[in-house]
Amino acid sequence: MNLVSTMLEARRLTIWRGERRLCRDLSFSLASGSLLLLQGRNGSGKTSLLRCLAGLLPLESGTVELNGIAFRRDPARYLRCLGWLGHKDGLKTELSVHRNLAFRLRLAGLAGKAGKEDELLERAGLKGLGNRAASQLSFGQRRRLALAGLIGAAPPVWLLDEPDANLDAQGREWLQRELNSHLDAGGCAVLAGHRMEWRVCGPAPQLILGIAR
Amino acid sequence: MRIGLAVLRNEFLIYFKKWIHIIVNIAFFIFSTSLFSLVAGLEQELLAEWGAGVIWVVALLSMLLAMPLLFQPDREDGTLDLMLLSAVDPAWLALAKAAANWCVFGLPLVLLSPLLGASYGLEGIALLVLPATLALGTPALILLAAVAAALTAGLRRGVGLLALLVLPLALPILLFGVRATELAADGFPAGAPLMMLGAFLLAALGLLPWAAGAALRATAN
Repeated sequence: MNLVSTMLEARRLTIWRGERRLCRDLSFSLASGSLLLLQGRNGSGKTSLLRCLAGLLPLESGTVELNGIAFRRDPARYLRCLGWLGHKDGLKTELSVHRNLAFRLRLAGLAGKAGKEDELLERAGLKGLGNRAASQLSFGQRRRLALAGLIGAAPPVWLLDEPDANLDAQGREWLQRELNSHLDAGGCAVLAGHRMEWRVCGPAPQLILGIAR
Repeated sequence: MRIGLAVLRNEFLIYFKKWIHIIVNIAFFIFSTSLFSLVAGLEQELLAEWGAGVIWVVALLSMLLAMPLLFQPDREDGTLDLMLLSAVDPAWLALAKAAANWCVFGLPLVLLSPLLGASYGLEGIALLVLPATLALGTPALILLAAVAAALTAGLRRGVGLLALLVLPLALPILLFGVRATELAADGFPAGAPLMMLGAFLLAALGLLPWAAGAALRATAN
């Protein structure tokens, strides 16, 4: 028997952005090992929905639970389950690559260990760039560094907004591998973006936004 | 707590990379106070009377110059989202960032104030009381400004609004700071206004980081 636990459950979400209703009574759930793709044209509310799931944007109505924990009930435990990568990389360009990665791991409650950081940098294809200032990286390399921070933090639920932005073909392939490893390890992920061809075991459920107005 | 210390360390590293902001801030403080005494052309006695007020007002303005650096860059590069999504209370983030901001932009003003006070003809105990008032008052001002900066971090060109929010609320701190120095300059004990400034600082430490943290979360969208 295949026991699958629900990791993320959204019930009857209604989201407003200013005067515009982005969705109404939207419900979905994600089990361990599954991926949800948020699709929709520009401005349809993909990022807003992701921010609602992360607790960064208030919901008009509805509830979101991660591993059975609602944000309002226990924000610290809720946030510990969560990994976030937004449009912006969340890097301090004045600081070194190592320092950025160490800070990202520290935010996740993990002590910055040089060995772990080096391993993550190697996985991300940034070996040997640890002492370079993040401002000297290309945009694609910055995205890799941001993803390396997320992967190192290893939260069970990933919320990613156009994670492959600025990545080259090799970078997209690497992200694909890391995503599959995360899902195989029992995590789940919500990806917003326009790319459709994520290769995961079984079909990735898609949620098309921009209909409920 | 460890995350707060990591934020503090990052802030220092970033501020020292952006050393030009520190130089501009100090230069603004020195030139503005000096210009005032040159342009006003007042008698030495009047200068001494006005000195504490001018130094305090310019200190307040020069600290406001640095306020957009508190949260605006974090909002723009996405690190604020990451920090808010860590399990640490945003109040600690606000406190760490305010502490770093004060060390870099407030402390130099405290250290320079006796020199500028002397150029205004302040002497004796007043030259000790002036930096003491700034040492007690400027951290409270930074914490006050942190709340306003958190509220306006998402706004483009929110500096004007930030100043409008902070200036009226800063008035009691300014008045007690100036009054303490004036009393000391006139040979009276300045303990009472200094204690008031200390009380303001304690109240600010107890309340404002939480207000700033709540403002950061409320404006995260």
